[in-house]
Amino acid sequence: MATDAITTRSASGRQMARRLFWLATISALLVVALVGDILTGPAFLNVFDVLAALLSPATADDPTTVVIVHSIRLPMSLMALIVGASLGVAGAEMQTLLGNPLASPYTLGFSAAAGFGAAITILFGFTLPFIPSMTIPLMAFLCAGVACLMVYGLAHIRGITAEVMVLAGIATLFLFQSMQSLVQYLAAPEVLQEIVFWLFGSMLKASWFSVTVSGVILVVGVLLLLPDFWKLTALRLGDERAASLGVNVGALRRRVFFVVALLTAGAVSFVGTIGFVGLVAPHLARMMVGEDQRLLVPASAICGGLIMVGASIASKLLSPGAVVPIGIVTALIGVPFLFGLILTGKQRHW
Amino acid sequence: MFRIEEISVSYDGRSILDRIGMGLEAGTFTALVGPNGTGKSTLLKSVAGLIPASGQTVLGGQVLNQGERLKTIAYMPQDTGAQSSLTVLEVVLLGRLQSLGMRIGDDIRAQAVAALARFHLEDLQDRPIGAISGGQRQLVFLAQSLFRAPKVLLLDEPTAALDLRHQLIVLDHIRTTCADSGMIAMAAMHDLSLAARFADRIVFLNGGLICADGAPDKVLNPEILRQVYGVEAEVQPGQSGILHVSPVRALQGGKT
Repeated sequence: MATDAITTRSASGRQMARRLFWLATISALLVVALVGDILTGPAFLNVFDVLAALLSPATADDPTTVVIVHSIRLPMSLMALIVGASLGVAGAEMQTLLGNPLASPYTLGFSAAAGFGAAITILFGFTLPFIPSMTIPLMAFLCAGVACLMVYGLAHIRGITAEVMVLAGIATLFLFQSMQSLVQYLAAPEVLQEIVFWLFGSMLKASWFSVTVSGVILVVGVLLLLPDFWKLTALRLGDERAASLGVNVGALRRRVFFVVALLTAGAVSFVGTIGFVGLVAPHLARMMVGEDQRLLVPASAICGGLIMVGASIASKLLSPGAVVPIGIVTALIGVPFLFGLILTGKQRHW
Repeated sequence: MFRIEEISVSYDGRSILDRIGMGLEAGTFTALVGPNGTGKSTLLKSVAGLIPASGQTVLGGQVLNQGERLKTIAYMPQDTGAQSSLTVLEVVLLGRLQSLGMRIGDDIRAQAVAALARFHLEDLQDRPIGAISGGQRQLVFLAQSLFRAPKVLLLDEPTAALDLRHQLIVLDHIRTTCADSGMIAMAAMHDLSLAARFADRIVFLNGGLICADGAPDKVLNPEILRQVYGVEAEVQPGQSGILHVSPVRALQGGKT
C-alpha cells in the first residue's frame, strides 16, 4: 500500500516535472527569440556587439550599436514581448471566463473600441497639450474602457453569465466596428492611410514610455489574477461545480473581466490591433502545461510573447529594408503552428 | 444533528419550496425522492447556500452562516459531462480549493491520491477528466466531495447515467462513509429500489412540500406512489428482504 502511494505520487510528480520542463523550454526559446529580434533589422549588427550593448552598454566598443539597440530595437522587442504576454494572459482568462475555446481578448469588442478611439483621433487630428504623442494611446484606452463599461453594464442588468457577456460583447464589437468603418469612410485618403496603418498594429510606435506603461499594466494585471488562480482553475469544471466548491462565480467573473479589459487596452492602445495572439497563445500553453492556472498564466504569457517576438522578426525579414506591420504577420505565424499542434496532438485540450 | 428549518424558495412569485424542515441524524443517509420539477435539486442547492432562500440550517445547535455552510456542507451537482482537460488529481485537489496555495505540499497531494485510491482510481490521476468514462467521472467527483471531509454531503442524482455496477459502488461508498465517519448524506434520487436498498430514510417531496418521510419500509407503499407519482406500482420485498418497487402503469388523469 505504501509502495502504491509512492508510485502514484511520483506519477503526478513526473507530470509536474514535464510541465515545468515545457515552461523552461519556452522561456529559453523566448530569450533566444528576443536576442534574434534585436539582431534583426535594416542595419546589420554583430551578435557579440549586440550582447555587449545589452549586457554592458557603458564599456561596449561600438557606440552606434548601443544607440540602435537601446533607443530603437530594445523598446520594440520588449514592446512585442509585453503586448504578446498581455494578450496571451487576457486570452487565457477570456477563454476560462466564457468557457469557450474561440474566445479571445477581442471577443468582447475592447480592441474594436480602441481602434475606433485611435481612428477618430487621427480623423480630427487633435492632440493633447503637453503630451501630444500620448493622444492616440489615451483615446484608444479610453474607448476600450467605454466598451468594457458597456459590456459590464449590460451583463450587470441581465446577470454575469458567460452567455450574456458574449452577447453583450458581440453587440459592442459590432457597434465599434461599424463606427470605425464610418470614420474610415469619412476620412480623406491620406488620413485613411494613417488610420489603416494604426489598425494593422506596428511595433514602430514603441518607446520606452509605452514599454513602461504596458509593462506596469501587465505586472499589475497578473498580480490581480494571482489570488484567483485556483478559483479560475475550478471554473473550468463549469459554473455550478465551481460554485459548489465555494467560488462566488459572479464576483470572480466581474473581477477577472476588468483585468482582461485592462490587459487588452494596455496592449492594443500603444501598438494597434494585434490579432490572433490572444486566441492561439492560450491553446499552445494549454497543450504544454494543462489547465492549472499557476502554470497556464505564465505559459500563456510566454507563448504570447514568443509569437509576437517571432512575428516581429518575420515582419523585418519578409520585406528587406522595410518593416511589414506586425499585426499582418501574427496570424501568418500563429495559424500554421496551431494547425500543426492540432493535427499532431494526441489529447483533446478543450 | 443537522437541521433544515423553514426553507422556502420562490422564482418570479411562484413558490418552489414551502417552509421545508427536517432533522438529519449523524451517520445517516437520506434519499430525497419525488417527481421531476418538484424541488429536489432546489432544496439541495438552497441548503448548500448556492441559491437564495429563506430559512436556516443548523448543525450541532449552531446556525450556519454562508461561510460555515461552504466549509461544512459539500454539494455534488448532477453529472453534466466535463469538457475540461484538468487532470483527475487536479479535480480532486480542487475539493480543498479554499486551502490551496501556490505550492501544493506532498501531504495534501498524498491525501488526494488516497481519496482516489478509495475508488481504485489512483491510476487515472494524470488522465484528463474529459477523457474518462461517465461512471469513472462520477466517482472522481465523489472522491472530490469526500476529500473535503464534509460534515454534510448533498448529492444531486449521483447515480443518473451510471451503469448498474457504478450505481452500487457510488451508493455503497456513501453509506459506508456515513457509517464510518458520522457524515450526514442526502441524495436526490429517482430509483426507488436503490433508495430502499441504501438509504436509512426516504423523504418524498411533491409540489414543494414534504408528503412522506420515514424508513423505507414505512413509507414505500403503493398508496404513496399513487399520490406522489400518479402511478400504479408494486412494492415487494426481494430475496434479501429489501423492498423492490415495480411500476405497473401510469394512472389516467395524472395523480390522484
